Amino acid sequence: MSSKNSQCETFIQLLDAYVDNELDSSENEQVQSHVQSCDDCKAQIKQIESLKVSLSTLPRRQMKRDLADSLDAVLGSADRVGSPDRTAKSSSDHNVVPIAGRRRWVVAAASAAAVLVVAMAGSIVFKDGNQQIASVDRKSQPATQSNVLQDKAPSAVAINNSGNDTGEKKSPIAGNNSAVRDVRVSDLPTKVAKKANDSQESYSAIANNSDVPKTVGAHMTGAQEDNSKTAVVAHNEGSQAINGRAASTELLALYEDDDDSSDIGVMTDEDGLYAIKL
Amino acid sequence: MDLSDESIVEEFRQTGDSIKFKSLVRRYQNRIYNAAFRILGSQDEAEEVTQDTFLKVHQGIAGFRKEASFASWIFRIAHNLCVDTVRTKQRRTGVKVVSFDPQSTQNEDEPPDSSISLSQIADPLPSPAQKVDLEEQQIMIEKSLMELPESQRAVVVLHDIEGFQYQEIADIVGTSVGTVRSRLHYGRLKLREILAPYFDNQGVQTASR
Repeated sequence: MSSKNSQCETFIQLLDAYVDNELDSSENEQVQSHVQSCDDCKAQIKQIESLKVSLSTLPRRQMKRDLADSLDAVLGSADRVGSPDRTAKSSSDHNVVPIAGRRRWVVAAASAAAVLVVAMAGSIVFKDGNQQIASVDRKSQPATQSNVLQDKAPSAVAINNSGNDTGEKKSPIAGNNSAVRDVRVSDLPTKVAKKANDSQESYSAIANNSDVPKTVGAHMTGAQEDNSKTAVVAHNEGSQAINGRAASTELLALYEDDDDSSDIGVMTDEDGLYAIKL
Repeated sequence: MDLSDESIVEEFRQTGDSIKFKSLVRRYQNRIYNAAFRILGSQDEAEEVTQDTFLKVHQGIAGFRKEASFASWIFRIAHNLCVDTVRTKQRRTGVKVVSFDPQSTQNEDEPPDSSISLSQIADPLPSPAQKVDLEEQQIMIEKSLMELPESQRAVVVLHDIEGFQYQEIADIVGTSVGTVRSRLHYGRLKLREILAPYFDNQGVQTASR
C-alpha cells in the first residue's frame, strides 16, 4: 500500500502533463503503465480532464468595442505622448484624445500640479514683525472674480505677524482641477524680486489672467524655520482661476524648461503664467 | 484562404498599410481581452491591457522576429502588461492581491503544505448541497480561478482557456517548460481542491453536462 502511494506521489505530478500530452515518450509510457493499475490516479485523471473542460467552456469575454475602429485615434495619441520606434505609417486624428493618451496626460498634469503644490506650500512663508511682504486683499476683488475665490475660503495666503514663527499656508493651487486661486498683493511694489542668501532654491508658480496688467511677483527666500523670510505670490486685479488642466500642463512645461538657476524673480509666459523662483 | 499572422505582419512592415494592422487587431483583440480578464478579473483593466498591447505591438513590430509565433509574441506583451497591472495594484493597495493563499508565501511552484478549504475564500461559493445551475457553476470556476497566485493563474488561462502548448507558454511568460508544467499542475490541483465539494465521481459537475 505504502509502495503504491509512493508511486502515486511520483506520478501524480506527471498526470497533468500526461493528460495534456506533454510528456516525452518515456515518461508517457511509465505513467500509462502505472495508471492502468491505479484507480486513484485514474480518478485524478478524470478530475483533471473534467476541470479542463470546465475551464475551456467558460464564456469568452469580448471587447465592448472594436479597437480597430479607434486605432487611428489611439495611435495618434501615442504620437503625441512621444511613442518611439514608429516604423509604420498611421493616419492620426489629432483632435481625438483616446483613453490611453488622455490617461497619460492626466497623470502628467496631476504630477505637475502635485509638484507645484508641494513647492508652494513649502515656500509661502511670511516675514515677521512689521515687514509685511504679502497679504490677501479680498475686499478689493473685482466682481468678475472667479468663484473659486470665496471670502470664507482660507485659501491662499495669510500673514504671520507674531515673533519669528514661520507661517505656512495652503497653496494657491488647490483642488482637483488645480485651479489657481487669486492672491492679491497690496503692499508690494510693482515688481519685487529679491534673492536671499539661502542656498535653497525652489520654485513656486501662479497663474493669472492674461488680459490684466501683469504685476508683481515677489519674493524673498530663506526658508529656514526661525529666520524665514517670506514668501510668495503675486498678483493682479481681476485675475481668474484658470482651467486647472491647462494650468498644470503649462506649469509642468515651465518648471521643467527653466533650468537657469542663476536668475531670480518673476517669469511669465504669454498666458500670464508666473513662476517665481525662491 | 486566410493569410497567416506572420504574413500579415510582413505586409504591414513593408507597406505600412494600417488595414493590415487592423486585421491583426481584429484577430486578436478578443483573445487578448479574454485572457487578460481571466488573469486580472477586471473588465476595465483587461480593456486597458488590450489597448496597450496593440500600442506596444504597433510601436515594436519591427522587433518581431519569426523565431516565435506572432501569437506567442503578442501574448507575451499582453502578459507582461498584466503582470505590471497586478504589481501596480499590489503596490497601491499594499497587500498581495492573492493574499489568503497559503502558497503565496512560498515558491508558487512548490506544493502547498496545507490544503485549501472553502472557509478561506472571502466570498464563499454556494454550499455543495445547493443545486447550482450552469451559470452559477461557471461563476464558481471563475472565482476559484481568481484564488490562484497570478503566476499559476496565467499558466492555467494560457493553456486551458487559450489553448497554448507548454513551450509556447514558456515563451510567453518567460520561463522554462518545467516551470510551466509545475505551475499548471499546482494551479489545477488547487482548483480541484477548492472545487472538490462540487466534484462527483465523474468530475466537476459544471460544464461536463
